[in-house]
Amino acid sequence: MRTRQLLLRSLRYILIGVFVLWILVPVAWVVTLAFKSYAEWRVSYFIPKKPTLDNFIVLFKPEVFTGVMGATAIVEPVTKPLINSILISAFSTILAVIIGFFTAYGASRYNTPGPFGIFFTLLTRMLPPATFVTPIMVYYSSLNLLDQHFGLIVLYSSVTVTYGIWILKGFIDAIPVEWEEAAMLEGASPTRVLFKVVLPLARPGLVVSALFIFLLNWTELLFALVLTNINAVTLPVHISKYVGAVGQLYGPQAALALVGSIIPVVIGYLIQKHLVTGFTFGMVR
Amino acid sequence: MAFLEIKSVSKKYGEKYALRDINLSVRKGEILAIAGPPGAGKTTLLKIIAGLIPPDSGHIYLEGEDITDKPPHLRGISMVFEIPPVYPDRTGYDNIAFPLKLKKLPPDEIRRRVYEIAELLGITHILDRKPSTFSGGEYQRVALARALITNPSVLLLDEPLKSLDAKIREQMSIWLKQLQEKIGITAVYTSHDPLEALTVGSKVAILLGGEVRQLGSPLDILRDPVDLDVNNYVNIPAPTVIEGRLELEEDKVKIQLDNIVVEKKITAASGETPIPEKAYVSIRPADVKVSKEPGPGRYPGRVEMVQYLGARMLAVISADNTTLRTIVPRDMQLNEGETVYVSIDVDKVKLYDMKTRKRIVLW
Repeated sequence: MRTRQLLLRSLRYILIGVFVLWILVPVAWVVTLAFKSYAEWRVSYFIPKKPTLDNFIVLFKPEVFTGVMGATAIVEPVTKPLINSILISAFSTILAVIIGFFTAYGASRYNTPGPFGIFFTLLTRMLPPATFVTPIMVYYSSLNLLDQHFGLIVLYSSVTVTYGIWILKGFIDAIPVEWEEAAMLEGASPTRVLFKVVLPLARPGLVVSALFIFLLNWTELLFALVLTNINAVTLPVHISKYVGAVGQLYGPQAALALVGSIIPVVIGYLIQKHLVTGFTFGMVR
Repeated sequence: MAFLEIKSVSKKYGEKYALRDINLSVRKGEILAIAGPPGAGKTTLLKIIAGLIPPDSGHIYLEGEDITDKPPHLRGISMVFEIPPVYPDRTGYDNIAFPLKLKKLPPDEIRRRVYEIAELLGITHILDRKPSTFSGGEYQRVALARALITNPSVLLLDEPLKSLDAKIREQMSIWLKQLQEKIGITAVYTSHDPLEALTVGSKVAILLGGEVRQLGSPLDILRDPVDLDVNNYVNIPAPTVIEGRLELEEDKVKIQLDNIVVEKKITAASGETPIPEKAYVSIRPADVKVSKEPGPGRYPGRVEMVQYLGARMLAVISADNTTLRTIVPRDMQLNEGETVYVSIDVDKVKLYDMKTRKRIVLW
């Protein structure tokens, strides 16, 4: 009996171990790769023999590599795509959360789009995104939205607003209608009820949906790749540009992946506190 | 004159009446308690009074003025909801001050009034704290403070104590009644628990299935339930209701419950009421006496089950075909399967018509 328990327990730890390795090894690989010099990009060991910051420097000063890789390897500096990504992701997140909040409120309290209306917002998520790529490219070309920040913001926010609606509807549903009615009795207009009661109470929901949507926008590659060229290039697209005549430039790609993950990690960390304090609805039951 | 008057108010949800022809009135400074089981229409009625739900027909009068179509915030009515409106994202102070901030009163005055009301309700210590740290009683009192701070002319309380545990609920219901008397506010209070309603209300309405079945003082309702449903609802522990045959013998009424027969002398005056052949006989457990010795008027029975109901012990006793519930005296030890002798205190027995379920008063 005891050996059986021991066996089961060790099996459990083995499975957990495998799972953790499965997740963490690629991350570790990217981290170490970012510090490896050109000669070590394709080697099979983790720790670089001669750690270097060249991969990071080349992101901002492309000419550093010309000696090693030849002129084909010259890629635009990362500054512009970085700013593009921040602007596009931030604006489309804000837009999606704002529209999502009002739609969710209407759906939760007044059942505005009808019982199926809200469900149909999921339609855009039911087909693989690749289905839409070509028609959207044609539309965007005729609307002169190709390679425009505005074009991506409109697309991203209209796709992710669905998540905003669904996440926020859950949070608003959890706020008792009585809490709004109490404010109404005290003389608050519907608008003030919305902004003074519902909005602050739904804050954890706003934070959760904003983080989720931001991550989606931040990592989106397919549409950005098709719809942008020079002006509105985002980080994921920029990563894919590190290809030279000799093949993939793994070092700068890894370095850019690290740089690109700083912002979501910082946001996630900052938001964590809001999530915890926000979730404890002080209900007596 | 009635301060708050509800005149023939009805409300339908789909084809079903949530409220049917409700007539109630509350005098100034009085507390009307509305008792009814879940789904009886208590919340709907309060929301109609508050103006949050429009009635299908009927009128609400406040100090003689018809306020049926007046928007809720102009009525001067406050309501404490079953889920008390205490917002978890702000402190006790901000919660209580919320209605005054809405009215954009000067900060000095807000501060003064919040402290005044917090002192009155004994919650000054929680003003700086978030609701997640409140106890159940504090939570309710913050909700009450928020409702009272606007000096409403009528206070509506919708099952305010429902989420508290039994002991605190009892304390709070007495505290609430004392508070109401102290500040002299006119209030309407609802509860699913008839005993709580009887404790709090100076007048009690029994709301069953969307209709007010009885309106009266707590004593009236306990002593003289108008019909069988009110009788069953109000009495805790539940009375035993048995079909009985009635027979008039000179100045006596014989009530036959299968094998058990009880008799009651009736006076000539009450004898004018026609006596039906059959009636529902309601016997409260407290009015069934149990004894280990046989005697006149005592019927042998078998103890089927012994239950504990709080501090009291309740026994289910079957005497042939009749099953009675009785409260066992503290000093008596009963075992299941034991033979005991039961007698019924016939003075306390109540009769109800088989068809109309209305009370038949013979004595």
